[in-house]
Amino acid sequence: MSSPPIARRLQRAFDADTRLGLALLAPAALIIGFVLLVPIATALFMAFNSINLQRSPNWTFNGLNNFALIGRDDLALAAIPRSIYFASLTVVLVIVASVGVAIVLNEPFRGRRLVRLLALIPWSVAPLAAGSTWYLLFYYSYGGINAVLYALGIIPEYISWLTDATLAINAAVIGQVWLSIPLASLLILARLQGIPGMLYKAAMVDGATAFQRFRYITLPGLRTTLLIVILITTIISLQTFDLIFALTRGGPALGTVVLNYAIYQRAFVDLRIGYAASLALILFGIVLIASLAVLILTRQRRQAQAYVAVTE
Amino acid sequence: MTLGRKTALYLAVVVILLWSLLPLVWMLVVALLPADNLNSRPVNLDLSKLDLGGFAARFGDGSFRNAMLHSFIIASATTLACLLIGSLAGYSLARIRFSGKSLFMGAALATQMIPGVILLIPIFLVFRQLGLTDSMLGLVLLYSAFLLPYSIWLLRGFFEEVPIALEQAARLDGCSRVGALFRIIIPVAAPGLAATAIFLYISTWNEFLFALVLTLQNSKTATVALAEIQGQIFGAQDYTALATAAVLVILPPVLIAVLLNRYLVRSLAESAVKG
Repeated sequence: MSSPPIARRLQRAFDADTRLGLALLAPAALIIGFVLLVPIATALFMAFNSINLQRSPNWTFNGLNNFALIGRDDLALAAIPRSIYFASLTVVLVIVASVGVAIVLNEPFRGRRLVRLLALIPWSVAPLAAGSTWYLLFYYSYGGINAVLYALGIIPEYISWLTDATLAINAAVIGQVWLSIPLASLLILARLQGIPGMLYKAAMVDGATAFQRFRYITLPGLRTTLLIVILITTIISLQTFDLIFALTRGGPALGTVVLNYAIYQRAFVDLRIGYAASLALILFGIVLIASLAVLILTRQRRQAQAYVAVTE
Repeated sequence: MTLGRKTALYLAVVVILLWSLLPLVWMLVVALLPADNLNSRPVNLDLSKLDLGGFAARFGDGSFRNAMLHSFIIASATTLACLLIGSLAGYSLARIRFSGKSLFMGAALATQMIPGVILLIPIFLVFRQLGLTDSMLGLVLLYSAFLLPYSIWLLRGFFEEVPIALEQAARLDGCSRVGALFRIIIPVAAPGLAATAIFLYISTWNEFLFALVLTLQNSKTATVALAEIQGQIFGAQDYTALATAAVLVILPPVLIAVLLNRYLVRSLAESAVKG
């Protein structure tokens, strides 16, 4: 007697390979499910609740009220454009500098291996510690930048870089650029090494100038890599927190509070949990829109998703 | 190469090195020079009388020492957990034929797009309820979940590179699939595992926001301890303390990145090229 088709299909679906495959995947799936997916889903609900921590957490559904409150929260309203400014400037500076660094490190010269290694060092520095590093450079009395500029006679008096909000947020951008260049230039360099040298030789035979070779061979060859580096840098710099926490603590006068900092402040200092969750959704929305914009430009979604995974 | 071009190239190399390293060198200067030298204008960079007192004070600070120890334990445990669980999952995705694989990988990678702070808000509530705040176990669990999707994705790639004939030979000799994973595939893919481990260790050591919100005394990490010293600077004006603490927090990841550079670059560059 032959078994009915459905049973056979079920049997095939749960053959030895499938069972083993699922069993090996299970520990990872459980951890990712319970520690990532469930909290993410919970956060979505929280954004539409007012949560009182005084007694045992007391949730009250309040619809879109949290989002309406954002309109009256000066800290958040200032933080959103500041984050966008911070990320945009960072991305532009990182791309320009990283292409330059990658081209230089792709040239043959003595000690190239060592230089490549040393140039990667800022990548391994904790963003928080990078905040401390740049604090010691920008700080008024002990700052390395004041010390050097003054000693060289470039500035007549020490400048108080971190007590002016405009100077301070740009100081933070410099710190973020310092952190981001190593990975960006490494990815670009890896791609540069894949562009056949023949192309450059042929172009030189045809009389192309250095600029023309860059414009018509290097840049098109880098197109996908550059868009991916833009994506990575955008996502990371929209979420800056550690660096600014160490560099300015959001000051002076809350003048360097970026969106992720505002969320931290509202959630874990003011304990306005539900409201903070709605702010976090806004951040996610901004990250998503920015990423989609870049992804549409690349038209290589699969590849780009993989790259996002590399960086986080 | 013409002389002018060569000069320009070396000039550019010098600029890159100064930009990358000078900030860290200045931190070392602040950590080692007596305060008077730094207070004078112009600054007195007399390197003949270096003062190791700052580092001695750091090592004598029990709270800071404990924080470094906590970070060491948390980073090691997270690295091991992700390698083990990630290897099982990575092997499953690389070598076993069954449906639902792309759904799993898609869901796992999608979580990486979501800002960490979204996750932190509900986790903060749940940990408060469960009494899991200020425990190293809680942080290891969180970091493992956060880093697993990337680890699996990387390890799957490294396992796919191992020649399938090696595994088939082992199985003909009576090895089980899981046996082949641990006896053949993992040893052959060891450089890839090393690269993954470096990335995991550095990421965990450097994490700050989750540790800041979820730890107090018992599990305070090195970055949180550094942030505390940074916070005291406005009152105490103790720049030596800040610089020495920052140097010590930065040192382990930098050493790992420099000493194991070969593996690291392989993982960063190849994973990106493979896509």
